[in-house]
Amino acid sequence: MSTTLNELNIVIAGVGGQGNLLASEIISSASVKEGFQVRVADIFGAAQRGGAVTSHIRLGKEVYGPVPPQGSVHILVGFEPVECLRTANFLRTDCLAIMNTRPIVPSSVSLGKATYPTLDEITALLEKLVSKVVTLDATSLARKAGDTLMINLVMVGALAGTGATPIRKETFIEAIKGLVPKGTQENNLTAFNLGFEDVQEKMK
Amino acid sequence: MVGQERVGERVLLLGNEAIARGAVEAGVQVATSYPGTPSSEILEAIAAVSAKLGIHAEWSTNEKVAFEVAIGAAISGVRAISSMKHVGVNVAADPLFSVNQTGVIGGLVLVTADDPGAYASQNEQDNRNYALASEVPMLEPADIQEAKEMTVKAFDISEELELPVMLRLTSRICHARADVILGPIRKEKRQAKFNKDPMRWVMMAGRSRPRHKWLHDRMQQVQDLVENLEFNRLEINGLELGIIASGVSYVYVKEAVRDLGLDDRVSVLKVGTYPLPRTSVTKLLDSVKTVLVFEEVEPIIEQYVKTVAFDEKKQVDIRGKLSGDVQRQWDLNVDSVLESLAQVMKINHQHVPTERESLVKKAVETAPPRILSLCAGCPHAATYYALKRAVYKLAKGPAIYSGDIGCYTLGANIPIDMQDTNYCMGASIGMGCGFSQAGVKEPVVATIGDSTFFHSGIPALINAVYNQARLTVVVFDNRATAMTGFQPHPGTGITALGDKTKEIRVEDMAKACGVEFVEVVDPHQLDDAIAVMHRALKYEGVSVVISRGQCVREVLREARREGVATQLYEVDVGRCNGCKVCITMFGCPSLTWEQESKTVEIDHVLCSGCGVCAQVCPIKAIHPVEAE
Repeated sequence: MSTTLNELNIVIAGVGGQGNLLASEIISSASVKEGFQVRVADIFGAAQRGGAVTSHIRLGKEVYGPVPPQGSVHILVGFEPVECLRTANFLRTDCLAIMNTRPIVPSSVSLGKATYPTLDEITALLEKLVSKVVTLDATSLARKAGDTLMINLVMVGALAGTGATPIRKETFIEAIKGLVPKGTQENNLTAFNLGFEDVQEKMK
Repeated sequence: MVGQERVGERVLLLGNEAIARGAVEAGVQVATSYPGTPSSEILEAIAAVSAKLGIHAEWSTNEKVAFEVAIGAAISGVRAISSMKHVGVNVAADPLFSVNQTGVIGGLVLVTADDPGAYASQNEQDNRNYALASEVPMLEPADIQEAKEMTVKAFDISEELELPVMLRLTSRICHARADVILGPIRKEKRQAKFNKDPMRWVMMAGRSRPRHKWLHDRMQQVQDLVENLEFNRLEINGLELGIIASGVSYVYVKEAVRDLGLDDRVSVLKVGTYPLPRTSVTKLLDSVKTVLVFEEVEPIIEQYVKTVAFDEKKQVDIRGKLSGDVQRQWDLNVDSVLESLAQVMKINHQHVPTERESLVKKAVETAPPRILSLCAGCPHAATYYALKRAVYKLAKGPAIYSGDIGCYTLGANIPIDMQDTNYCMGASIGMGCGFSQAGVKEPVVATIGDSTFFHSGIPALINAVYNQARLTVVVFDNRATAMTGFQPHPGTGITALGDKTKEIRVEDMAKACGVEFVEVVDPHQLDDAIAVMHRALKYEGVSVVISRGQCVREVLREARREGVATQLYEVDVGRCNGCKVCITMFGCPSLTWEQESKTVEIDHVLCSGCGVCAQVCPIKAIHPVEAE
């Protein structure tokens, strides 16, 4: 893909506190660096933590509103398994889904008001919804990079590793360097690379 | 990016940062605000560059004060901006209805960040009504680039008309990002000078009468100006339908028109100002037989267009919210606009194919709901638990919890369930007085945050003492305005720029209000906190308990900065008897129930090591993880 790309819609789905907003900022600023028009909507309501958080990123030659119409998302970056399902109405049939396999169990489940599906159920449903599902244990990879907080960078790496966006790896890296706090660059880039390599392997 | 020159560069900006950049480009000298979603990042972004650019930026104690500070600056000849969430304008409305009559000298911009859909607010009020009611001009951008341009222009218009200008944003502008081309930053600073003019600045009875006429005399000038602004644009193409769209609805319309292939069949009037561009509206009414209006949230334009059609004697079918063709409340989106357009144009349109619908529904329903909850380690959770125990101990039945606005509002959700009312900033104490004066039998507890206490709790607390109410006020003091992003307030002793200032203590204020029972507790010391709250509940009169514990997000940030490892906790599975008190009474999100073993476990990714669950556990089955 190049700057002639008409429109690419990406959705990041996760839970407050997973660093989804930074991931959204990295992907969108990398898109601007590649010369695209970009529209981003971060939807997080009132909660700093614990609620579902969605970021929509739209890039292309000419893009309009920040939130795409239903059924028009090309890539799902799922930070948490059931959050992937919650975005179902936005996904295209030929969507590519990248899913972190580590659940964050909502308190509704601990309180006995709801049940958390098994990972197999989630994957099976997702596979029916989209054309390709790539899974990874981003939380473990982040721990390997030094801190479970960096799953956002692992997931950005995973997105880059799919090769499904028109954003080059070096542009992602440039964006990361500009956005993560000084002193954490090295660990964050390690996290990015771990995600990148893990998924690149799985795309083969 | 907000403070760097970089003229002509295309950069990614958050909508709120674009407003900040616009203010900086316009040479703003005073910027004020009180935090509130979705407006908070505007002042934050200005404050971040204010020292470098010589701007005074402040978090004011509330929106009324914020706007008054800006007015004082503007009538001294400098440019000033005041930003707040939509409901904040309710607080600031009082001075708005005077400054519209006095007018200003330096440009004055009042930014209202509306929240259609009420994603982060108690309501979704449409603040275009304030512009209409106070008769001041308002601008409403369709996208982020335009939001920046409008901010710059708003200052020019304000000075040209000598009127304050309102800028209406919505969440989809404030909290969206887009590529924005930067403009030049105006560098010259004006020397503030207040020229005394008692007939203009003193709005006492008698003197305000001629000023209202002055305001009305301006109206023609305002109308002439908006007719020629580039923010209003009539795009005549096809004549089957005329569409009028304001704010972000315009980009939804553009996308929907493209997706339905209607480019050659419809004409679009993009609206970005109030008053509306009457000439363009009339021209559209001349061209088409049907007009469809898209706007958030109230049918303001729709009604205006009907008035114009009546005056101009146009037989045009005007449709929108009132005709039932457009969703009546909540935020619009591309899908809802597609649906309305398809319906009016009689086009078959379906977002998701039927065969996929049931699959989508199943996927969404399989995802268990996420109840918003206080963070793991939140001091408020401990405060609620202590309060709950103190009320049990009092043995006078359940209390009435008069609630307020902040993180602790999440105490309304299960399992805490201790917010019986939630209206507006500071209402916990005022309404608590009402419960008490009405003579309810239950103990009355007002719960209020530290920042909210300074915002509007103090007058209500004085009222409680003065009028001899009987209630207990619990101040949930986490030393930050946490819900909106950890902004400082008078109780923190830190300014918007991060500098040290005089710390104003909640306990000193409470005593100064005449309260005789004032105690400070640490919610992490549960037994002490329960004992003090119990005494407060028994007190005949107004009692204030300040439950003080630093916001856990700040505690963790500090620990991370200093490289201190968190002391995590774990459950002794052999000892846990599965009583679930920690989950159902305390409710920390790091506590999970293991169905198979019928025991509780602690999620170490979430646990912050506050140790409160270890105090909550009735059989002492929770203990610190021992170092390996």
